[in-house]
Amino acid sequence: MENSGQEILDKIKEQNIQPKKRWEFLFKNYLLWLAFGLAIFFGGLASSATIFIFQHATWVEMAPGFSPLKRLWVNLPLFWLLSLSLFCFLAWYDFKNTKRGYKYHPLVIVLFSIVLSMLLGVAMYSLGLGQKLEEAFFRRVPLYKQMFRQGGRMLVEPDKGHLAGIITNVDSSAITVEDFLGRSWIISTSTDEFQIGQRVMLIGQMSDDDHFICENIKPWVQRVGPPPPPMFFQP
Amino acid sequence: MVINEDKFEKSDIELVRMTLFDQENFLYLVQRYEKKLLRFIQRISGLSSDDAQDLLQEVFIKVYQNLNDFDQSLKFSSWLYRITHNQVISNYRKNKSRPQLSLFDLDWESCEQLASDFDINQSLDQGILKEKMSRALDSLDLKYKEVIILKYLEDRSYEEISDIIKKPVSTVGTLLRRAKKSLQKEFKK
Repeated sequence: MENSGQEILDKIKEQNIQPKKRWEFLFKNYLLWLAFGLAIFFGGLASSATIFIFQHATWVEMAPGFSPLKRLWVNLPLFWLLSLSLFCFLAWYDFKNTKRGYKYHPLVIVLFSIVLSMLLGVAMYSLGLGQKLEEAFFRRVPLYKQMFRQGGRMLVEPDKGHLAGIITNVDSSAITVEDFLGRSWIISTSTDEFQIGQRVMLIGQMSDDDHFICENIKPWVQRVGPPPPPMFFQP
Repeated sequence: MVINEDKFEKSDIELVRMTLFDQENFLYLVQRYEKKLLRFIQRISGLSSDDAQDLLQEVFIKVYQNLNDFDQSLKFSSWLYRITHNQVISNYRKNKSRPQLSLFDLDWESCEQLASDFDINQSLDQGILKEKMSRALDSLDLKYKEVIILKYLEDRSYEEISDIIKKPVSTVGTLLRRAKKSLQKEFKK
């Protein structure tokens, strides 16, 4: 061992090994913090969409006949909760790899990330971002639309008077709704409050294969702002 | 290189700063820690003397490359042990060899200390106790073995162990409790 120190020094000189620059380590640490911040930010967006759905879902009052399990399953904004979980995981991973992140118990980091995301989510929701995000995802993200449809299928029971789907046509006195099982229905109703692409739930009666007599129709989630007047079927 | 005896009196942080200014000063850091780190490498990996020396060389080269990353809120020795620990794990994964604690490394005082701390019967013959203790340690999971070695053989505090293996202090406590139970169980076999 006597000359090992000198051997090491000689090797360092021979291979021209240099200490890495300080900025490289600082940069890596800043990147981790940035990644953590982004994870919290996107977690906040997911939280805001979740809050929006829970706060404005109208289907609850429209589905008194459904079992608690069905109501839970349909109401659960699975996509946003999974997204929130993913971002919280990423936040935990980034945080624990920072210089001092290892000092904190993983559970503490995870809870901290969840709380931070949710607080940010509340702020974003109050700015209307939750609604905008949810609607934008439904229009533009096929996966989200597919997951939504899958959940919505459980509410399609026209023979029992329950219908749920997307408005595909709006006339002066009727709307056409494609339910989540792919069937189209013509519903006579006043159409002021509805637009193509909107998701709706209906309670009523099936009159024939493609007509549904509507007793109550509401948007899937209530838009923020003054609520539209209740839509009732006018014979 | 001319050895300057005064430099041996310098603190670790001063030597780090001096090394960043002039690489020759790195020799003093190496000489200060090489014996301790070599012993630690052999304890945790069970490598032969030559292999352990090679690994020690890799460790010091890595230390030199990462000197600008040294966080002064840590003890320099903890930072060194951390790099050494990571290098041993990396070497273990690369070679996929099962580490074995070499019997010679477990001196009688350490063996006695461990037996006392872990409520293990010390009435056995010295040689038998040492052999049983070494085998018991060797059969432990690496995560338990390393905390036992750091706490009882390297005499590191909980805080230092936390900095070395990069886990919270509470986790270190949990690992040590479980390690103790495992060791007692293995010893009785």
